[in-house]
Amino acid sequence: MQNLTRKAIASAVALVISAGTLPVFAAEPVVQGPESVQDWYKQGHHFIRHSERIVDNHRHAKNVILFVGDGMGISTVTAARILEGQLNGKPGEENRLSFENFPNLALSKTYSWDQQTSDSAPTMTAMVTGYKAREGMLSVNHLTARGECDAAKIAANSLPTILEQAAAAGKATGVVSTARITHATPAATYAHTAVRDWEHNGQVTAACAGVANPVKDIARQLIEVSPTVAKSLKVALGGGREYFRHNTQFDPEDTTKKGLRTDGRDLTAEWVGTRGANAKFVFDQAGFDAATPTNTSHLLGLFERSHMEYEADRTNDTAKEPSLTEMTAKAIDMLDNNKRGFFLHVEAGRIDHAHHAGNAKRALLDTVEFAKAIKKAYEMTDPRDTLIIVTADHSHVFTIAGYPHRGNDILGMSKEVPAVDGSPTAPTKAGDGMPYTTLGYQNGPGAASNPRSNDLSSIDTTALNYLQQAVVPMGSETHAGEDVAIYATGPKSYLVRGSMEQNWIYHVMKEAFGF
Amino acid sequence: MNLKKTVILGCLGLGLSVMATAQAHEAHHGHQPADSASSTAGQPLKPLAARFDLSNNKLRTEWYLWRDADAVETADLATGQNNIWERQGKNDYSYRRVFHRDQRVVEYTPGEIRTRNAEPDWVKLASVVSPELLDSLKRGPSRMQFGQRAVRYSGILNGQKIELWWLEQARLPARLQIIGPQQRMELSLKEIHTEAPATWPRATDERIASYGKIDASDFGDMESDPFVARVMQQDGHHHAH
Repeated sequence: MQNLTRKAIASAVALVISAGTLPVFAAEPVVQGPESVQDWYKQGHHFIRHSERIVDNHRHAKNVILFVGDGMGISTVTAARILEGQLNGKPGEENRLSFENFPNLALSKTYSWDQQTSDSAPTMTAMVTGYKAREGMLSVNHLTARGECDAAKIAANSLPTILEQAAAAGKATGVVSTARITHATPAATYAHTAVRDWEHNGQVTAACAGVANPVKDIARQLIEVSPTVAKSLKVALGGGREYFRHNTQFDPEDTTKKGLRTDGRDLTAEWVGTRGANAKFVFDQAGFDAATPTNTSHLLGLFERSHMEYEADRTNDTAKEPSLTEMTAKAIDMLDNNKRGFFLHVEAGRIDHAHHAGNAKRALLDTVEFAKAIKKAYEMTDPRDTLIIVTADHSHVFTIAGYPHRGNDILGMSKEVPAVDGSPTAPTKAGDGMPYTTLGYQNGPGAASNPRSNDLSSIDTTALNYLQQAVVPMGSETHAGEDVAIYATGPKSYLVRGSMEQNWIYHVMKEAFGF
Repeated sequence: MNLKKTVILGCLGLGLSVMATAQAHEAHHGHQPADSASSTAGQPLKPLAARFDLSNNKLRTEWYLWRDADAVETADLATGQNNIWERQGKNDYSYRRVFHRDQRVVEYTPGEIRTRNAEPDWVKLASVVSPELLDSLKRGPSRMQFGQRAVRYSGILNGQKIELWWLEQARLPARLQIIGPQQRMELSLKEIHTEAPATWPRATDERIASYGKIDASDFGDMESDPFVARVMQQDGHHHAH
């Protein structure tokens, strides 16, 4: 329809020009990309030459880093790429997030054993164990009963994780997340449980009353991992402090708040007490900065009572906290002095939360920070011996809509290329006569809080707190079931190719390690 | 169309048990700044505790409000819910919804409140009636109530007849009546104190110590939890007005 309108106007203009009523020269397009005509061909030619020089690395990997952008679907990658470019003063579309330069790419099918569209528990279980699993369950097989409390049954159904196997092989290991370190994605690397929400003992007690030997809560599992993993797991950085501290213990940052544990245990102290003389627990930027590989053997950093701040809000934090890039760099510093190498998992956990809230800008800024962390990891490691995999656990119902022109503010209203060169751009009107934003959600809070009856012309849609419009009203925007991407570089990264089942990611890492 | 007025009246129509939540929603609909011009020349609100009778058509409940400089708490006996807003600094707010019957607390961190674009108008939270609503009503005669001057305000907004007796010193309604085509809501102040009686149903740390806590940012991953599903359904209903 839009094309037809454009063609009709163009025809009319051509007719007028031919009749001699307008100057014969055409106006300059208002929207112009920075490329010359030759640039397009040169870029393609360069890509082919560069690709032909890439040689698959068949060696085993000394190190493996698994980056997971929680909820980072392909539309999120695209929008974040454009936003990062625009933040650097460019049109944005031509930009590449750091990991988009990796040589190997595949699509990951994210369904789980019982879910068409999955949550983070079975998806991360698939990636770190090699087995698809059940909704809400962490690193146990799909024979596990929903809500299974019995520790013996959980043990019988537990699946070894790539982190545990790396530890058994003498490698150093680490887990980093901007979410709680007990949240589903990071927890799947070290914990085994039927319920992802059993993060502190009170939740297990409430659900498993009367069970003689209930499964341990996730925070406790982190502290009471096997001796081999305890020795290997040198760094755990993220949020979730109150899940490790008891309910008569005041928080060191939010000093009027207390921990959540009802068993009287302070697991942060237990970390320090069980990991050797140089083990440390830190909760703020100063403590984080002071911990170095020379003065710290095992570092537990829990920087918020619950999840860490969004990157957009991080500088406002009371006690200050490190960025994902800083945590990634610290983790690599802590791990890479192990001669047998390391396994590290890094999660950008809050992309998912911002999407659930219907707040695209925070989701994208966290994605941009995620890309910076990956760039840092790539720079700090040797691509000849370090396999880096970047992927997502699942997608979100997040869309890039309309026919916005090149360089249009990705957070703004959709404005098309003008039908007549020289004409200014203007917001495109939808069928209801109202403008619409390029970014939106199929469902979520924006459906009710920012209805179509709102005239967006008077609203700053680029504001940090703006909630994009949505179609189906829901208190929380939902995950989406389409494939997500897998990006890989380093030894065995050529095995990341084509259409893959999500659990095959584990097999790539295992093959790379040579287990 | 004045969205703020529509939302205010709609929320009052739902009953004050949802008022704190709804007022936050109103603030994020309208992007109201935290310190309204109608906060009586910027004077700080005095700490107090108040007990109201609330009737909404045939439903009746006792409704409580506690406020001090940086905290506002409400309790609704009919729903068994307390709502606690706290302010840190000038623009950081946290919010807890306490569901006594479920023994659950939902916590919204400052970051989560910003992310949901739900930063409240503090004056509105602490005074029950928004300054904008007060400004839109016609000021009438006054009388003494609860040892202070109460001023009558009245008007018709969006087809609803509103009558308010407003305690100017306390900045709180002594009586608020809203009558619409299908609704009759009345809020009547019964007690007001500078310090609340200990028997009032405040959600103290001791009382809620054993309750399960949920970070609201986890809602998206907890839709299979019946409690979370119910709260999200309730929130969706409130949002839909």
